[in-house]
Amino acid sequence: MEISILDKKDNELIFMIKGINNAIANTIRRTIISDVPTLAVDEINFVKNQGPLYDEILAHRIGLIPIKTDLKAYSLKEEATTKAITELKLTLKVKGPKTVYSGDFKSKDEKCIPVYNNIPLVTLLKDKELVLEATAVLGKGKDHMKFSPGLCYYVNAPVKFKDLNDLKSEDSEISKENFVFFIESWGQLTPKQMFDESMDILDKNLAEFSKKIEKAK
Amino acid sequence: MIIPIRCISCGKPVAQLWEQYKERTKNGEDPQKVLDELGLKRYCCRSLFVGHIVMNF
Ligand SMILES: [Zn+2]
Repeated sequence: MEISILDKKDNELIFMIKGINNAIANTIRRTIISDVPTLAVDEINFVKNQGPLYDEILAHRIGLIPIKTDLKAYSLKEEATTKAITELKLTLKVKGPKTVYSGDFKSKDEKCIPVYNNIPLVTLLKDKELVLEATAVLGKGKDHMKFSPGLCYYVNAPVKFKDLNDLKSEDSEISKENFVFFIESWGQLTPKQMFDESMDILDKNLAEFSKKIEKAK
Repeated sequence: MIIPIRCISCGKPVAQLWEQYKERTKNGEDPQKVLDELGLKRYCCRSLFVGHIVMNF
């Protein structure tokens, strides 16, 4: 197996893996999309909501806001030891007339804040208030897509691959064991973190799998 | 309606780009060019912006 990086941006990483098969490529893709945990708001306590959107709709919108995630500081609820931190509290207190933005949230942890400050949530009329307390937890993409760290897809590379423009040519012969991977991050983690974390998780899952096979024998 | 936070199809957060898009297209810029510059390359995200109707409440 051989990995080479083809392109690198803030929220995008393109690389080629040589010498794997479709099954492994797809395992990597699915692990990144549905198994790498990130922070997202999961519970909201509404104190006052005088805006035009119902609590449920606003809660759904708030849940979808990507939050910068520090994977070392937080742990999943189901894997947490007694001392581990599993929750992040965010508060919101605004008074109209105003459009409420994701940047209006006050986070208890200054490292873990909404990725974008200018996501419009709701528009309040004059003197209408919105007061709430949100609880963000770590979760996985397989539970809800709001926890998914980004997008990952791959294509088979042509046999004579030189650069990314070769992917567009249709007449070239396609290799069955060389894959070009595209990782796009939604901002909670960097693409590199997503890939590294997915490899750790894959290791853990495979170890558990072989342990169970051992028992079944 | 208010702009969805994320693309309905691929899940990319798009709402943060909406006000910029609205402002620039209102000033007469070509929507295609603006979408390209905002980094919306998939047609799922692009259709979300092109087909969005603002309702003020
Ligand atoms: Zn999309």
